[in-house]
Amino acid sequence: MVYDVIVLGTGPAGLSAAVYCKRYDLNLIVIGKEAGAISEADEVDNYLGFVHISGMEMINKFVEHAEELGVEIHREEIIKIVKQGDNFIVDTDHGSYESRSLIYALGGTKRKLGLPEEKNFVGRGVSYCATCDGAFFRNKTVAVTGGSDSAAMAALLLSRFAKQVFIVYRRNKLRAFPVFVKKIENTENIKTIFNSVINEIKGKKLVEKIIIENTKTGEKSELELNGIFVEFGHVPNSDFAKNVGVETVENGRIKVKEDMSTNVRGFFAAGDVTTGGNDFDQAVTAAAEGSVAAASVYKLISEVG
Amino acid sequence: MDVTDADFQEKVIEKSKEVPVVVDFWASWCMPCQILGPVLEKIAGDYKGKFILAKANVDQCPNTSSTFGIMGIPAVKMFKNGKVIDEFVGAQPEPNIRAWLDKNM
Repeated sequence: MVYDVIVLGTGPAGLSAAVYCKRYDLNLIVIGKEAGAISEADEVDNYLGFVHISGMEMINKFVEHAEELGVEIHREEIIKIVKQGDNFIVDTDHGSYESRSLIYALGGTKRKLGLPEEKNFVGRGVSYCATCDGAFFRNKTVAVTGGSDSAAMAALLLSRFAKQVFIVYRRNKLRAFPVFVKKIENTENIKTIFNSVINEIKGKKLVEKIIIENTKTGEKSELELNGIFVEFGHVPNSDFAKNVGVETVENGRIKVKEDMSTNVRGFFAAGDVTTGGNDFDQAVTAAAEGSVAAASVYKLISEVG
Repeated sequence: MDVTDADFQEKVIEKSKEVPVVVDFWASWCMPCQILGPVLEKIAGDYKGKFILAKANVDQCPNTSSTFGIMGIPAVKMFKNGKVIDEFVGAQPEPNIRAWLDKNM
């Protein structure tokens, strides 16, 4: 069976694309396992229609919506994508699927600190998900690395559990939404250490301290703590796309035109993996890109007939 | 099989002296746990009793979670002869989990 379109990704971009594809009566499946970066947000209050909702609840509602419309979601691991003639073949750990077009919405993978000892401390103090692991650091001291919205949200969440939260950020000003920055400034147990990076983690079995380097003076200092929450943003998951010749820009995002098309005919992309949202990486921009991609697929399929 | 602080000793520690027990420490608020859970359940079905999958909701197992030093979830630990012999943290792709099981069984 050859589908009109296979949507890759089950975050806001992929699910929104799927909903619109259904509206266009396209023959589709969605393949993906991850739930998108938004699923780890403790609270989302900037998506119209949801005044207060957790990221996980929001993504569950998106899935429910898509499935209610009859979208079939294959929770499978993507192994390879190849172009065969005008069509695309997607191989997963459970099978092989063919389609006339693709909407590629695989988002990104959380960036690591990049320290050689980091992997030894995962689950022993190093965490990439504050909503998952924050509660294990009750009355402890933790650091959040990064200055983005996700770093700010992580710090605010952790301040409810931890005794003390440090934000370690390489620049001299947080780049999170001003509303988060104000909250952080007004939270007693959060302290921001600017112009600084973590360049070593120390501990016998568990995280015990970090070495912080001041990026301006080169001065190093030790900070005793129990946990490090890495919030450095995401590395775009564009490798499968690159393998079929899709063009990316320097930071790895897929270069898309206004209609979400790429340089490969029939290959559309949406969400955090693209250049389309101006690096804004919001659920609302991802969902919007997904809808545009679906409209473009419909146009292409209609033209070809 | 769900386990709690009250029955962890019997259902995991003692049982692992007969057959390997894989414990999935998880929580309802953790999205990676929601992704990993069904994968583990499917694999457990495929292995047909070669190991027992025990689901430990950290809210129901605060003491056990503390005893085993849980600081990040999902945390998956394999118990054999009453002891943890291997573990991993975070949602993993299914082939990696199968390889991990095969290596340890």
